[in-house]
Amino acid sequence: MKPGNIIPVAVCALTVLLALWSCGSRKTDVGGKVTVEFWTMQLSPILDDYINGSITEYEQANPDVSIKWVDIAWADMERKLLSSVAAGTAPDVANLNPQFSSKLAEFGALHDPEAFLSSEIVQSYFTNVWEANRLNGQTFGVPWYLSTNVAIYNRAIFEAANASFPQTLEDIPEIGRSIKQATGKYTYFPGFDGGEPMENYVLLGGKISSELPGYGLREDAVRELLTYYAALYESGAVPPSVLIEGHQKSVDLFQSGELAMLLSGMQMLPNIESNAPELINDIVVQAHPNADEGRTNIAAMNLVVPTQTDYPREAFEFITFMTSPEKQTEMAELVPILPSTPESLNDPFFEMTDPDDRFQLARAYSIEQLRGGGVLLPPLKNYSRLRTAFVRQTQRTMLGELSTEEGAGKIISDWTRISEVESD
Amino acid sequence: MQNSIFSTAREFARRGVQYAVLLAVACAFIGPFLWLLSTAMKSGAENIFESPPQFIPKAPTLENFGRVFESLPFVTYFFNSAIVASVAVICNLLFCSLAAYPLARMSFAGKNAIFLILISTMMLPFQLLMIPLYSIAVTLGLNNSFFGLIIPHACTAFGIFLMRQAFLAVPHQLEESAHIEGVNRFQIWWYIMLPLVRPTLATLAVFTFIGVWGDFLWPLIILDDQSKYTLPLGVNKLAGTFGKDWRLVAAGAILSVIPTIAVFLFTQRFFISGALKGAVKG
Repeated sequence: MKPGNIIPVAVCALTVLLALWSCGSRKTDVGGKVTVEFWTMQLSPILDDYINGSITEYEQANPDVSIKWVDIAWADMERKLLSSVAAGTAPDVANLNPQFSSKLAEFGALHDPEAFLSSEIVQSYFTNVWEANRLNGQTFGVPWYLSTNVAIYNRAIFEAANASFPQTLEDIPEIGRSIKQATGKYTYFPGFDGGEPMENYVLLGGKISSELPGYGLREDAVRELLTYYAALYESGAVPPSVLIEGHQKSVDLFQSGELAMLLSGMQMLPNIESNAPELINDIVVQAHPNADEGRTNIAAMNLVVPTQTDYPREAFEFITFMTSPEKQTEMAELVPILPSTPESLNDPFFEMTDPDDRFQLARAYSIEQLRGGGVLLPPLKNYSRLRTAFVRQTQRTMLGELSTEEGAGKIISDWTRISEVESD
Repeated sequence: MQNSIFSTAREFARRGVQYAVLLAVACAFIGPFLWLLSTAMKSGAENIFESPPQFIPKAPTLENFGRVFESLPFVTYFFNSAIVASVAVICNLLFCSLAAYPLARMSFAGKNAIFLILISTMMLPFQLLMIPLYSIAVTLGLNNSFFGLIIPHACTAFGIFLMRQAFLAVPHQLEESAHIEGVNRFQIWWYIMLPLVRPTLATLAVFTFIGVWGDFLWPLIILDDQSKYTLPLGVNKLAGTFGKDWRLVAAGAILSVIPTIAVFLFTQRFFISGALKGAVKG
């Protein structure tokens, strides 16, 4: 056969070969076994043994259920989940943050856990966290692991400027000014990429509630927040790049020794130790500056069940297993997280045995804050638009394009308008 | 004599400026790669975020590259990427040149309209096509498979455009002589046209390889099974939720771009002339 004639045959053969090789794997139930697909956010490879071990344990106890675990990159979970929902292949259980969970809940895409779980199980979670997974009177997720920000200070910078650690957020502009003058370094980096500006609004005395008109934003409290942000910018406590960069930049700056304090979860300590080993001896961990006032934010990771699942009962049973106090304690022993069930904290593992251990100290502060804190930014309809409006007017005020009065007025009017429109 | 000295000096200065600009541009392009290499070679005792940044590692080490293999089934991901990229390149060369030949050298009704429609699809971003494409793949049972991974890259509008431009540049007399000898269309395509557009084929191969090798979004959407992950998905796992060792991420990234560099070096003698083909005669 001449090469010219081989080509069409080769193309056909290649196509058939690839089609056979592809073995497309649609979710199927084999031998009466139910397959529950479980998506997590970037827990592999560090938790491979834990998750696979838990799955084996669950499957042995429930022989009619098979769990298929899929781990997805943190930054790409939303795209992957939206594609699968659009194609009708959503997972049975997904690990999501509350803001994206609430976005799906707005469209009725998630099951209400309270319709499947007993009140006894519901009460086994931190009430303040459980309540935060509620939109329009309906719950949409089960809290899994939690985190709360502690203050991580670079003692060398504070000593060089002869400055003390801030006791409240309001102390930062003045302390930041003296640090900038003495060392040329910055003190604080309140990122604009997440909900931090709105969380700071609540930390400074404001309130946000999905039940209230305009979500309860008060003009005087917004003005106070904008005055605070403008003071941070004017005093040189924050770098100019704060306007365009996010939380990751604050971590990078802190690790480079150019930032005096970092408000972040305790999971940041091992990262700092790994990336900037020479810095670790200068690090001091304290409670969040506003922790004394009982206002600290809790960041939660949820497990949700999309309404596309054929097996909601099995999905919630698996969630109950994964979020049980025992399983959460096991997980906390492997990675720096806080459990969403108060009972887990009774385990001796969470007791502080060495007060000089920075990590144990950070965990002790975190647990204290967990008991008294809450999710400061509740799930809100049209969250992305609300966030954009809030951030944009805050940035304009920091740059001096708007006075604090004008900025506050614009935020209030934007939020009132957005809160009155249907979900988009 | 004096004029000659001035002219030589002027020429020397002109060349000097040219080389300085070229060097600066080269540094700007190669800089991020070198920085990645520097980070990958820094030891655990070194602060990779040091200010001012240290380009040269204090104690260079290859340990991080070894750790990449310990942390991930790197060979599996590499093998998956190699299969997907190789098959996609072969399919793209074959199908694009098959589609481009009639568009360049045959007369039939609607030829220009077909070409125009094909070209216009290049204006649609992948993000727009992603969900319908995924739905089709799921309907056909191609999700979580190499076949589903390859299909969107198997024949591209850009490839057809590039090959069409290359075929247009081949003199008509060659084709006419072949016709007189009784050679059929398919044989003309295989024996006469393809050997003459080899530089363009090499160019398309490089473009396709780079595109498929570095593709993150489509594999992310279509693959669930980690054993089928390609390198970009695998390397992404090095930056976990509870630990980000940037030395490891940098080492993984360096290892994953080596094949791209190798393919380019191997095909660069064809590449430059082929890349210019699309720019002339339309």
